Amino acid sequence: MTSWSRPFEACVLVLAAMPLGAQSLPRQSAASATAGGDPARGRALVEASKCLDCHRIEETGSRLGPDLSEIGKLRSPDLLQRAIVAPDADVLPEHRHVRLVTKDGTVVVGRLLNQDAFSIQMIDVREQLTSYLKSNLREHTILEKGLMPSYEGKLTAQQLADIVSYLGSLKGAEK
Amino acid sequence: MNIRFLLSLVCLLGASLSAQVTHDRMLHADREPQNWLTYGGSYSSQRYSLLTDITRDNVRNLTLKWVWRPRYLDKMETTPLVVNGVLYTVQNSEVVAVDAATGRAFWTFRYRVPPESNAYLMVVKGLAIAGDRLFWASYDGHLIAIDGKSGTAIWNRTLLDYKKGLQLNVAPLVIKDKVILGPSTNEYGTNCWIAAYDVRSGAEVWRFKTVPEPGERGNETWPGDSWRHGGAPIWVTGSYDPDTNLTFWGTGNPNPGWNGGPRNPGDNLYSDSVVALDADTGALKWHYQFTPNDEFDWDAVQVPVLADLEWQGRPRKVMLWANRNGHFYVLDRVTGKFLLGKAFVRQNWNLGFDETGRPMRSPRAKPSAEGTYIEPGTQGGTNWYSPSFSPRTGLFYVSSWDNYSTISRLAAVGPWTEGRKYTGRAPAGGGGSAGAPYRTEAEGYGAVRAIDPKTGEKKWDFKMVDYTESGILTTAADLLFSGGREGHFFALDARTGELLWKTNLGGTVASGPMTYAAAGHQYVAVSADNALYVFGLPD
Repeated sequence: MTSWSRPFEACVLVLAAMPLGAQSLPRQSAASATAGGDPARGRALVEASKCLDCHRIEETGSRLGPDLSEIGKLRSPDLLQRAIVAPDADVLPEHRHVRLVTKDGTVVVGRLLNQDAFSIQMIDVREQLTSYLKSNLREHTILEKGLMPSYEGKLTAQQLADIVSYLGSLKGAEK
Repeated sequence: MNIRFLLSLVCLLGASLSAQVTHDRMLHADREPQNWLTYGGSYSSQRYSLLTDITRDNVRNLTLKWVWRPRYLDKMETTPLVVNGVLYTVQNSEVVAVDAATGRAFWTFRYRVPPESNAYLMVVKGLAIAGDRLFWASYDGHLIAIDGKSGTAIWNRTLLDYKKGLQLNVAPLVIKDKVILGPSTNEYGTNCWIAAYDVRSGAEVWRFKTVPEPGERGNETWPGDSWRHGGAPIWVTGSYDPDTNLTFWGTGNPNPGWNGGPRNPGDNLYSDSVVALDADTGALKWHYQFTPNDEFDWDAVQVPVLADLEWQGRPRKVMLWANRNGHFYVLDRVTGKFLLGKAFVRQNWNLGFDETGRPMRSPRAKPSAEGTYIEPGTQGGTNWYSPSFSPRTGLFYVSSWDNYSTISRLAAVGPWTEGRKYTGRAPAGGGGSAGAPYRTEAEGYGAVRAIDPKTGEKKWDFKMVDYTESGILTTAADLLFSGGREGHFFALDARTGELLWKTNLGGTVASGPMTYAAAGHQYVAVSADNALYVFGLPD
């Protein structure tokens, strides 16, 4: 049993993976992305789903995917919506994941934190900071696609607007 | 404890060695010598490790494994933490989590410290951890909780206004759900304190003022309004005794530092003291003042070392303390009772101790307009450098300075002004120690000094020409690691002081060495000049 299938199933959002300037998909107005959206319903949807299996909002959730605590400051509503329906359109380098196979055949997946010629550093699905010598690996692959499935057609327009409205309200806590 | 045995122990302990650093883990830090969970290695601050893979026989094979060099050139005085293969350290405005085996970074946390906050003492001693939160006290007066997994700030509390002459240099100490620390003032005459903050929110839970205010016990030791500018800073981390729930902290000198005029007559409590505080409430249980009415800057700026000794035929819970005033002390840490005081360097100010342990100051030991020759000098017989105690050898080890100063005081201290030094020391003709390497041994030298705590007698010296700002680490392999201003980092036989290995790091070693294990190997780490160096045995 390897631990690498779980994040694919569990992760819902890689919203912050999209660069600020991503314009590869048709631009949608901010108003239409959140039209009729209710942030309270969006929050309930996010908390009831598996979003927080990969993402973190303030002190809740996982660190495996991008932290969404202040995503509303960083992304416009249309970019947030696009990240939900087309999450692989753009993935920021700092949000890439890596798949390792150790010499004994164990498969490990985590978010890539650092690497050099000799070693790789990641945070794995248990949220442990781990480091591997490349000489101890059979293979290692940096995943260019995100771990999140597209939710195009899986959410109603209202649900999508609710979630985008909630995410847009996340501006980060006072620190 | 060798690595193979350690690995099997790790498997047995299983979940208890998760990344969460609990209070129970802190209480039993000796069960996981692969980690280094507090500034002093454990609540007793013995800076002693049970790791034994590096031995007296193989230590000569130590090689450099990796180096971490921050972006800043300030002298690095930090002792890192290690938790489950991750090493956390800090320098200037940068906190990092790196792989303890390779030195490669997992994350870096950056926070801009205003350079004007205190350009003279831009140093930090280290971090604390609770759960998976790190705590960093920045010298511009912020206490910042950082997520140990992601390197992001959880909360950031402003504890003080650096424009008032306060700063934070100390590595905090976590006890249960509180993070404890205090500010320092570098002779600005601003009163200091020790306080506990909630690890979850950063809210202040209790505060102990190191200079009591009117109506508080101890204020009567400050004549007139002199208490208003008494100082008594906190420079280094305290210790904790879970059996009594007391936390012990050393306090710094009273202000003005070199002229007691405004604060005479009086002991000026709680300057130059160790205070024993209830860890839950901050209530003072006892204190001992090493240097009443200090006029030579002899801060009690040392880490309290806790040990359980056979003392005059019966077990006793004691505190070992080599003080800047040149004397080695043994106190009963339950009651504060003075058990032993003995000079460990040349001194000319103390004629002896009375039965309560109060020093009898020589009438000649007063700063004067023309200059007073004093031993030890202003830098003291030792300073903030962490000592070590080895339960195996039964010896206490301290970085010592045999030195002197000539102290000249101003005729009048002058009015205190916020943000300006308040020393009372004459700007010229202040004298000081002859600088290495031009002095003779009779004029002064630095040493790693081994002391028998039961007698206060010196057992051996490892002498250097220059003084030393290095702390000391001992291990259960009877090794001692230390360094000095000459740039050497070395290993000694802890029983004899024999030199077993040395290397030159090209800059002052001004930190406490520590040791840990990661990926099946023991490492020894020390900060020198402006970098962290990590050594291990060849693969």
